[in-house]
Amino acid sequence: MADFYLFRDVMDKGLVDRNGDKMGKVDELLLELRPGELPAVRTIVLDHGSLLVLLPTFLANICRWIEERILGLTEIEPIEIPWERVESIDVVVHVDVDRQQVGATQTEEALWERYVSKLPWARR
Amino acid sequence: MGRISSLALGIVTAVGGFVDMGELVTCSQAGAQYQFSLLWTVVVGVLGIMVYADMSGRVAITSGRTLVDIIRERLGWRIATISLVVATLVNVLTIVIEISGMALVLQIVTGLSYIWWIVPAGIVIGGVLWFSSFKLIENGASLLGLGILVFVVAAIKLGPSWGNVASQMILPNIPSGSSLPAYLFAAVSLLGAFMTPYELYFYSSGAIEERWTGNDFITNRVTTVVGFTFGSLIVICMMVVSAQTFFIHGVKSQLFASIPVPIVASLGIGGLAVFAFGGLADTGGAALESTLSSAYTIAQFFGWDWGQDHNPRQAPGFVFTYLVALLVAVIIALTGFDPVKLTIYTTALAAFSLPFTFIPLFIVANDRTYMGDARNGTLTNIACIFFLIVLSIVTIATIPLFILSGGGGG
Repeated sequence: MADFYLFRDVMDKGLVDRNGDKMGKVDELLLELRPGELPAVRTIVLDHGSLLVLLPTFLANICRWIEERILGLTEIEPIEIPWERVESIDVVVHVDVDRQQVGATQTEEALWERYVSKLPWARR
Repeated sequence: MGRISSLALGIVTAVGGFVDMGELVTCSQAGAQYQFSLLWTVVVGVLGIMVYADMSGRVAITSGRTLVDIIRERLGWRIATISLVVATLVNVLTIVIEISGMALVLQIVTGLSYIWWIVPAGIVIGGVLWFSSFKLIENGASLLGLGILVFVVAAIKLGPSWGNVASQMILPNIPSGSSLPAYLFAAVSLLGAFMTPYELYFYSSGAIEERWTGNDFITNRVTTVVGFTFGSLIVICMMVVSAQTFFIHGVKSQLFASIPVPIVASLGIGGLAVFAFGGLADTGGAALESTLSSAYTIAQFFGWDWGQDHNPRQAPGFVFTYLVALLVAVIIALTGFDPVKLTIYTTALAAFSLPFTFIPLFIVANDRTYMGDARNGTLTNIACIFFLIVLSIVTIATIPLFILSGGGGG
């Protein structure tokens, strides 16, 4: 893979799984520091939760309330995708994982199960 | 569909979809209070939306990214969150005013208070979104909205001094006794009405929904330049008929019901029927587009599946978001807060928020790695820098002008 800039070319880009389905955005990159070695990006992280700390308190509280009360998700674990799974980077970052297997669609699934599926003609 | 007919459809829908509640209210009030002296905002605002929409269409074609993708990639998560919050606020308020606009048109037709029409209007919008394709939403309401061309016919019939109209577009003559802060706040609201953010989110997402390719550069350019130019003629005529009917008689138009008065005065009850049909389609179309835009921004920000041509199972987050946005908007509309005042405030807020989307778009449109040969040319960049200055002044001035003008009232 060619050289690229982490912030310009990877951070906040869309992620697409091996089936070509959307699976969120690159929320964080985990950098590993080992003595005597150059720093290396080890994983891509999908984690809206960790980013909540960057929001003003009232907005973070609203987001947590939505997660818990609206979505019924009490603990959303961060999803880490090893860098080795990155296949290519263009308009989006292509990764060799299945979005459902890694749990990247839990928010959307929760919305479907709790609300959208119950509406008339939702399963058309 | 052939390229020519596709282009023609693009132009016609751009014209039909140009007018919404924002234009109906702000242009009518501007004509009544300031005669032709705010027509310059049409020139600035329409040129601005041309540059803006052309750029977002070009970026979508070339990079495959929507406006929201670009904002998040270029400004990062933190600033993009602020942009998302502002965009969502403006989008929801826009849904409120458009649904209220539908209800107010129905009030004119039926005599039944608009508040009774809010829920039916919301149900119709929700139903159309639930069952319709993107193409039907994009083209249907805009084609029906061409009825709003009745303002052009009325303007011709009322016979203003067209030389005066043209000259005031460049050299405005502010009526004596006008409050300068109120005049400038009205200008801000007009600019916000002409460059409403939901139109840009919708346009940018539409380019991806319709899978525009390199062959669509010409569609993008012609739709934005020709379509918006003809659209601007409608809003000029809206201001003109209001000035000819209200300003010259010293009447300040503050009610929605007064908007079609010039139409009735010049074209009779038949004109009113055409206005009602076109106005209902235009506000309904804008309600559909602004509701979709609220879902586009949120779904694209989080990287969810999105698209009006997906069924609910394929894009549950997108569907849930537009339904919630619509529900919240209906609840706000039911509070009975004056829809005309809310329209003025919403368009001013829209103008205030524009740099949040314009700056990242401008940066990406000049990025060789994203855009290749389709990046901005010198002329476009000069226009962009001009609008960036205008938008920055607007953003800085909006709140002080709001305070100084006593909430826009003067």
